[in-house]
Amino acid sequence: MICLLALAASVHFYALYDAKTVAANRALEASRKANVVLANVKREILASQGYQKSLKARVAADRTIFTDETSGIAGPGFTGVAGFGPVAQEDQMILNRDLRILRTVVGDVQTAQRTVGTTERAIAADDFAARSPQAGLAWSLVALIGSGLLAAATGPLNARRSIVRQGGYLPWASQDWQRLYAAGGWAQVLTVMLVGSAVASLGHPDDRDRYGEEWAGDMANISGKWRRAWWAITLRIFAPHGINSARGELSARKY
Amino acid sequence: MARKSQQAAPRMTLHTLAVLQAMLEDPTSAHYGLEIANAVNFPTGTVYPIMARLEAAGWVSSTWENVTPSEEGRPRRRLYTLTGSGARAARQALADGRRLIAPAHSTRLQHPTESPA
Repeated sequence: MICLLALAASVHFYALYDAKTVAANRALEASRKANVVLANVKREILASQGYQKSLKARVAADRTIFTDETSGIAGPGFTGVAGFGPVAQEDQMILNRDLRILRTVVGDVQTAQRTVGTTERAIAADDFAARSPQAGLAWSLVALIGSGLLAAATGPLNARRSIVRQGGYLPWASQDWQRLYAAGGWAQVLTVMLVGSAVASLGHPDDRDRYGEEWAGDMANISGKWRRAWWAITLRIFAPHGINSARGELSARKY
Repeated sequence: MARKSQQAAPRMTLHTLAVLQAMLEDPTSAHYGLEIANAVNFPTGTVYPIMARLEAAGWVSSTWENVTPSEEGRPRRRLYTLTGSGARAARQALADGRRLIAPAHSTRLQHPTESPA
């Protein structure tokens, strides 16, 4: 069971690492695009500001001419419209239009800045995965080793494991582990652990004795290390629950 | 093994029917769990609970194989045999199961080129 938990933790951490890396890559790409947009917008603002200055200068010059015309000096922009010179009117309209464009551009800049801010926060969150490509694998190893150490350190904490140890269903001693590993590698260790766990999960002592021997016989009959391990997995998942249910002791135990 | 709910009818699922059918092919002989699982092509994890339910209901009895493990070079097997009442009940359950499944087949649409049977 510990092996299964460690395996699940490894898969989980690896998936997490993978997802974080993908997210970091996406965030970096989004940030790059946002920076390009921002640079373009800044260029537009600068150009617009330059244009605005030149327009203001034109309007000021036109007003000067208009003022001179009203005082009797003829100028190139005078058409006889009361109150304002025609060039000044046109330039003022252009100026207003450009101010509207500028306001839109400023809105775009703010949006782009928000995007960059969000992206930078996302990058900071995924920084660990982005900076350390082996982080997921490292965490998986830490989880695996940690689970193994925890299992070895805890020992017979509960009654079930105590019963199992007394009955000899699970070989927890290190020499047994080594013997199992030497006999069939990790597949053999996994198989024996799962069958032992299945036996330990049976609610009644008679069932534990009976099925322990019965499943040991089945295990001996199945050829192929990993085929046996797969058999043990299905056995562990389905058998104890169904057998305890048949005995009517399902509610008395937790699995 | 004495069970609390002795003689109560077991829950009849398709898996249970398949196990019963496999055992009824040779109702008097004894079979061990892995052999039944291989015959019906189910994981043993699902077959053992079925056998436990059938045994609790009295349809099946089980005994240890009469061999010496050291001589055989393998652990003893638990052998399952249909009881007399169990075999009758199993045949009835299979017949009931077929009756339940049959209407689904009879309502099948007939192809125009197919002659009515």
